[in-house]
Order: sequence, then structure tokens, then C-alpha cells
Amino acid sequence: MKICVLVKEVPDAAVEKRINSSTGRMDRSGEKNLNPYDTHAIEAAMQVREGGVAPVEEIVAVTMGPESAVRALHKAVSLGADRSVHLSDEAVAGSDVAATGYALAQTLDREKPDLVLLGQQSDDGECYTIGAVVAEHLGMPSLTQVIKMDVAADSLRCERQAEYGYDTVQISLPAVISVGDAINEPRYPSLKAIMGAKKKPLDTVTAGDVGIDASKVGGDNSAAQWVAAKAPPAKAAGEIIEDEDTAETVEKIVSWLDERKLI
Amino acid sequence: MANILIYALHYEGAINKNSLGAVSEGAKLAAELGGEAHAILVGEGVDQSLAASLGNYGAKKVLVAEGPEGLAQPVVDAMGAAISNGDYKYALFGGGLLGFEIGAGLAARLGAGVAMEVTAVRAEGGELIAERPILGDSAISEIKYRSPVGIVIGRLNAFEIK
Repeated sequence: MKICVLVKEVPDAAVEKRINSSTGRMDRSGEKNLNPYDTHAIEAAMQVREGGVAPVEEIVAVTMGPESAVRALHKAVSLGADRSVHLSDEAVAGSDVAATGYALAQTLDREKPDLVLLGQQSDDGECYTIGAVVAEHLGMPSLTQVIKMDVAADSLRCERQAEYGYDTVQISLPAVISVGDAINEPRYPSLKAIMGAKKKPLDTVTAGDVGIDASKVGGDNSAAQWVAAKAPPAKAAGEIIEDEDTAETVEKIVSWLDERKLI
Repeated sequence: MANILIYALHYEGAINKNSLGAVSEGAKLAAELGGEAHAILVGEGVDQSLAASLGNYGAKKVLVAEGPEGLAQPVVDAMGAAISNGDYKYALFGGGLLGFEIGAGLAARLGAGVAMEVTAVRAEGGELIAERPILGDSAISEIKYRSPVGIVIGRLNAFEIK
């Protein structure tokens, strides 16, 4: 089995995130890191390998991003990936979710993976949707926010929490799975793995190398167009209910919830 | 006509609350655009009265497609076919895990723009503009669509049932 793990470089959690008002894109200056949600996907790939049910020949970390995204790939390799692929091309900069998913699918298609794993969301975009876009372009089935994954030779048994309860779904391979952060506890990389990460194979590809149609990617060609950003409306002050008579207080709380159709 | 197709999730004989909110919101927006709100249900032997009940929330037509429940791809197939054959300018989802999966898959299938985690939508100049909180809800981004079809995926409970 060949597993590809999609990873992303995001602003570090300590950096204040803001939008560049002239481009509508996130200001990506400052310290960056591997998207923390992706570490769960790498760990899931490692657990498939170590589980031994289906032999894993290779784990490949794949990203799209500027030159600096190489550091996210190094971290992914230090966590267990065998090698990495970096799609780096000005033509894809500023792509929306749909265009990014297309570009990543083109990059993955060259690898012919049996399983594509990714984190449930990125720490910056918070879109939750890349996996389903990638899967559609690859013609693979997909599931998102998987919190348990059992592997068989040519299928997966996945569990996830939907709005109506817990789902258990059998899915045939090849497939695209986005994992929730409850699926595992990512390991820490060893010093040896950190030191050796830069020596692992890194394949840098352009849009042309992976057959991306340039008219479908980039900010100007994206179907979703950023118009403006604004401050959120100020939150209304909360309502304080003093507990002088508990029965009456409970009645007031129930009434308050009922008015807002919350119960 | 600027019709809107809205996905209605149902489970154990009832329509999901988020979907009812989405149908209500879709009906309001379609009226503002001069079009109609249509809803779509996918399932095995969907009860006709359940489908008809969506009329109470503003759906002018309800499409029912046969397919397994709880999976995104049968819905992407059904909505993709309906949009390709019909006259829809937008697809609207009330959010939730399936809404995100279906909306994203549909965007890829149709080459459509998609906005997710949307908390408000307004009609302006004959088109929809979606608002979504970003950067940990510290700002709101406004998004419109260049594609013939736009996909709007709401945040859970963002759209009020009317």
C-alpha cells in the first residue's frame, strides 16, 4: 500500500493571523509551522504501517505552497513520511478551495496512492472541505472527520460522528480520508529523525510537471472570489439571571432557551 | 431564473433542523433573486409526505432521489444531475458533516465556487454574497461567485427556521 499524506504550512499558533486587505489573502509573514491537524494524518499513516495488516511500501507527504513550505515537509518526514512532494508554482498562488483541491489532485494522481490521508481542517483556512474536492477529482470515495480507522487489505472500516449519531462506514481503496484530531495522539519526532529529515528525498514540481491546467488555478481563475473583509458585529451583552428561587431560575432558563429554539 | 437547490438531510423520518433552516433561508434568497427554492432529498423509499412537508418552509418543488443514506456521493450524483439538467444558480447546505462533504464534492464536480462555514447570505445585484467568519471568528470575509453555479455551505444553526 502506498499512502500519501496531504500537509500544509500554516502560520504558527503564536502568530496573530490577519488578512492582507489589498489581496484578500492571509498575511503569511512571521513564523510558520506544519498544520497541527495534519500531524494526526501522518500518525494515522504510521499506525497503518506499524499495524502490519496491510503492508505499507511508502508514506509520501505532499504539499502545495511557497518555497517556505519545505519546512512543513521536513517536519512531516521527521514524523514518519519516507519522502515528500512539493507543488510550488506562482500559478497556483491564491487558489480558492476548489482550485487548490484540483491542483493537489493532479499532484497526487502522479503518485497513484492507495490511500490519501489529511487532517480534518487547516489551522488557518478552517475549510474542512479539501479532502472531498480532491477525492472527486481523483474519482475516489472519501470520508471526512474519521475518528477510528481499521485497515483491511483493500478496504477501510471507518467511524465518525455525524450530526445524527455515530457512523461506521466500510470504504474500498483507493480512498481519501480526512481524520479528526480524536483519532490518535501524534508522536514526537526523535532528534535523529529531525536531523535526518533534510536528507530524505524531496521532489519539487511545477504546475506544468503535474499537468495542471493553468486556467483553473490561481486567485484570478478561482470560482470563489473574495470581495471584502470586515469586523464581526459586536456581541450583545449577556443576560444574568440571579438565583434567588431555584425553581423560578430554572423556569427562566428554560424559557430563555425555548424562545431561541434551543430546546 | 436564479433558482436555488437546497439539500435536505433526513434521518429516522424527520428532516434535520439545519436543513429546515437552509430551506427557509433558500426560499427567502430565491425570492429576492426572482427565482424559486427547490429542495432535494436522497434516501431509500423516502416518504412522500416528508418531502411535501418542505413546502411549509418555502420549497416550491421537492426532488426525491433513490440512494443510500448517510453517504455524500449519492447526493453529489443526484444534485449534480439536477443542476446540470435544471436551471439552478446556487446550491445551499445547512452545514454539518454531510453538508460539507456534499458541497465540496459538488463544487469539484461542477467546477463551482464554494464558500463554507457561512453565517449570512445576502442578495445584491442579482447575485448572492456569502459571509463567513475567518481567523477564529475575528473577522468576516465576503465571497461571491464567478462560476455559473455557486455553492453555499452554512455553519451549523446559522440559518433560522421560518
